[in-house]
Amino acid sequence: MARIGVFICHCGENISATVDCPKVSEVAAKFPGVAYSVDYKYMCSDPGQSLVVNAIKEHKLTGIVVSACSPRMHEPTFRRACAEAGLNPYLCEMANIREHCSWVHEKGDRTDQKAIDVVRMMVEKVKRNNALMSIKVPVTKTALVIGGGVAGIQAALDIANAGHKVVMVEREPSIGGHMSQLSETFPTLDCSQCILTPRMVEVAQNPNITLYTYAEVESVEGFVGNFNVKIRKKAKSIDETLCNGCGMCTTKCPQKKIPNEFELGMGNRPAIYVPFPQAVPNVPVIDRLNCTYYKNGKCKICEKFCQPKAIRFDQEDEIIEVAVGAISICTGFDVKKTDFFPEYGYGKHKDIIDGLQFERMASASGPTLGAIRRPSDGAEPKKIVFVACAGSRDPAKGIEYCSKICCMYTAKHAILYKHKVHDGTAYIFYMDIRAAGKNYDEFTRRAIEEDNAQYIRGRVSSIYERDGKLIVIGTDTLMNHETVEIEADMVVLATAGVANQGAEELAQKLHVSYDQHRFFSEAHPKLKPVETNTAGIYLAGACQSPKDIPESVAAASGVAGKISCLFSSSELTREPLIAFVDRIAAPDYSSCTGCFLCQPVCPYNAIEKEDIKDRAGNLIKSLAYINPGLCQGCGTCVAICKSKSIDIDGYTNQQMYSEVDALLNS
Amino acid sequence: MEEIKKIARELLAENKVQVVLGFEKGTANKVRPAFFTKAEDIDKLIYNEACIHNIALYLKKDTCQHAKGVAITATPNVVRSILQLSAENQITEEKIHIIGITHEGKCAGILDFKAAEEFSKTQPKGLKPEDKALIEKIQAMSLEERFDYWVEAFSPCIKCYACRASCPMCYCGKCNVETNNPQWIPVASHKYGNVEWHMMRAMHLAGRCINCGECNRSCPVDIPLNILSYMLSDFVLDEFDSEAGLNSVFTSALSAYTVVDKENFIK
Ligand SMILES: Cc1cc2nc3c(=O)[nH]c(=O)nc-3n(C[C@H](O)[C@H](O)[C@H](O)COP(=O)(O)OP(=O)(O)OC[C@H]3O[C@@H](n4cnc5c(N)ncnc54)[C@H](O)[C@@H]3O)c2cc1C
Ligand code: SF4
Ligand code: SF4
Repeated sequence: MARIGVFICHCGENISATVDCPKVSEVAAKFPGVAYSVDYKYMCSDPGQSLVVNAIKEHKLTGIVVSACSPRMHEPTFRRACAEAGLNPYLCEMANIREHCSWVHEKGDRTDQKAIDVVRMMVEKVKRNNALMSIKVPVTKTALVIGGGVAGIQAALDIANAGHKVVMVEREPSIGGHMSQLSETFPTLDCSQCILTPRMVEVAQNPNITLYTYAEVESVEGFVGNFNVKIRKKAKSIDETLCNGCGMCTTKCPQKKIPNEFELGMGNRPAIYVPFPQAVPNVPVIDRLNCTYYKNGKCKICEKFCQPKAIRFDQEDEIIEVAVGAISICTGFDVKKTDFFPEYGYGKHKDIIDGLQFERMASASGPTLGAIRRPSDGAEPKKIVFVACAGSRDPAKGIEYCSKICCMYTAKHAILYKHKVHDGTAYIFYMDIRAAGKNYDEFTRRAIEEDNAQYIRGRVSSIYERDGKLIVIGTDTLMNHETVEIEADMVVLATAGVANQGAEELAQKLHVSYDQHRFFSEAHPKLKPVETNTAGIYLAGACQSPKDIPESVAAASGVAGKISCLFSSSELTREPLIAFVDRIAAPDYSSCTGCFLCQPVCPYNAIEKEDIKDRAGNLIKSLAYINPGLCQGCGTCVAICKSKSIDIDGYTNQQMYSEVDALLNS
Repeated sequence: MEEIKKIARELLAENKVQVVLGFEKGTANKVRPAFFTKAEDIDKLIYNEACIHNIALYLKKDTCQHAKGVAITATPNVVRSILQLSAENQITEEKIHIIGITHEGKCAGILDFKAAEEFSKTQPKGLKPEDKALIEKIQAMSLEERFDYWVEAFSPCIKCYACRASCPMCYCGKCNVETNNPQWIPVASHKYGNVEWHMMRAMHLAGRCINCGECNRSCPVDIPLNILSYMLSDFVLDEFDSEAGLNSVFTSALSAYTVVDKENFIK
């Protein structure tokens, strides 16, 4: 005989101001099977929980309904209370009379009636609840970090320093990401390479980290604690174990005029190349599309000059399989190129560059060795215009969001420019100066006050060329919307930060969600900012939305903390609310017909085949079997199964039916 | 006919099959499905235009289940059923020897599954003129009228489940209507209870029904169930470009997503 306890919570006034809680409790006391019913101001408070624990013990309750807020809030609290009182935690149900009742209805009889109905449904459900045991799954204590920008580097180092293994996969020949391209960094103006390079080297040297560069994730299977990942290590055409990084090959390669990606086309590189001098690993790759040997079948000059004989023209892509317990996505972002802007000449003016190109120009190791020069004729620009929000915050361009980093780096660019061209003037067209952050506003003030940056509040409507100059037409909204015309030598567009190439494909491989701009989505914008919706997969850095370095690093350390928590025990406890295929006595063994129409519908590949055999090993029947480690309890298979052979623990057909029945036949 | 007999006799004699599934003469000029287990009994095997039952149904019965090899005289409908049963993992190619019979009643010899797929695609699907007329009549109705039409059409149903018993695709050991804990579908035959039963059955057959029409033929109160299934098949073909009974390997419109799915019903 069921002995159900009903606990009606006032939630301060959140519920009781609208719902007559004592009345609900009184009515619930008379429901068949209810042995105890009470209302209380804060059920989740310590005294409230004690009330629950004591009532379970005193009235020998066989199940409880806590009628309060959403189970998302406090189900774990009351399940724990059950466990404390010696009752299986899965014999606890929540009836949500806050979000589903008091918050959405007016005070009145009908609202009270709805609260009563909701409680009645849950009472009928809980009577049919079964005691369930949580599921334990083993955890592989290795993390996969995808992307080796500053976020990936930080995450990998933190996880490795916590004593766990890390596999890092970087698409380019070197780790470092965008930060390795930057000159100096706001708000302190310290040299980007100088602070990044030691960390890159640390990654290479840390015994807990295995680094695969020039590699991409091919496929991911499995689930939290137990992912199987295939990594495609693209052929570098080099035996990495032999190469000593002398660089002889790169100087001898006859192909010299290939646009250098790292310098954003502002310099050239050979076909066999290391992207930049501080690259980690310091191993070249052969760009097969541009290599003379791969094109014409003749050359192999690099091979001739390579002393340790490390060149391998016949090397093939390698597929490496790794087992990992957690995954961190740190694949960063990209910026729109100047060709995105018809009003600024579709990228056809050489002297209109983007912010990243300016970074390379200002960098001591860049194509101009740190001098600011017009790409067209190499002259020093005396008048330079920076255009902030180029593309960002512009619904007409499909980018309604703020790219966040541009205000700051544009101020930085103006400062760097002034440091290099003392007699020059920098103009900045801006919409607002967004400089929230520690020492950020001070930094932009410095640009204005110390380095004489001319801020003009308004947008630039067009830029065209006249006699070797760039005519920039904009408005000054603080000066009666007057048209401003500047005859500039050079223009730098702070182009919008956008999702990285391949983000969508990667999201699909990992089964994680992404937003309309193809940035990866966090599980909760406030409370789960580094988690994805898929358990065990996290994200850090600019792959989520444009972020600066401090934010990317903080998020990465957050991920490392999360992953370290996950790895803190060798088993993972999971809610047992998962699907199962019925098993009955011989000769039927199960009502499952083995049609396997359910197999393709499972989004988690959890449905397997189980062969029922007789003692001689002859096959009697093939049945569906649901892998409890993989099933997430979504219920899709339950809906497709014709013979209703699948049920979900905690949400069985019986439980659902009795809820509906309680509602309709009250 | 003699050719069919010859094949059947040989298969049994060589012990390639232990059962031949076909027809024999029944009482009063009728025919009835029969299991032949001995070569000498094959004399009694018949095939004529009266042999219209979809005997693929019996492939899931014990006699066939327990045999290592089964031969079956198979009209186009039977062949389609066999392919669909194979696609749903109910039978295997090694076990089934299809003795094909064309829609004109000619022996097409033994068909392996590949040949059966070809056979299935090329044999015409028969729809009687009165069926066509009824479909046109229903298609002309508004959705509300259609619903009312079917409620009315189902109302004489006595829930004898003959439609289910005669359907080769209704092979579940435990049908949903037999599930009584909870009892989603009521057993009593009343207006909406009947609708629930027939809607459930139609949904379970959507994309799987091969349109043999047995349900309608076996129905003692003559409900045009074949029309319901036929219209559903048409819809599935249109929406998902998928047709039951043409493939021996898995293709399920309702549980697989393909990029050509129009998904108009969501938009
Ligand atoms: C012009 C400009 C100036 C800036 N100046 C500053 C500044 O002064 N101060 C500051 O704090 N911030 C600055 N930033 C922001 C800074 O660049 C970012 O915060 C930082 O680079 C984000 O790091 P990340 O690791 O998230 O991404 P990234 O740096 O973009 O790194 C991502 C890495 O992942 C790799 N990757 C991508 N996809 C895959 C894949 N599918 N598989 C494997 N690997 C992949 C990439 O190759 C790359 O190495 C500036 C940005 C720009 C554009
Ligand atoms: S759909 Fe149902 S009957 Fe078919 S295999 Fe899956 S569980 Fe078994
Ligand atoms: S409940 Fe969802 S996750 Fe679990 S087996 Fe069924 S379809 Fe797969």
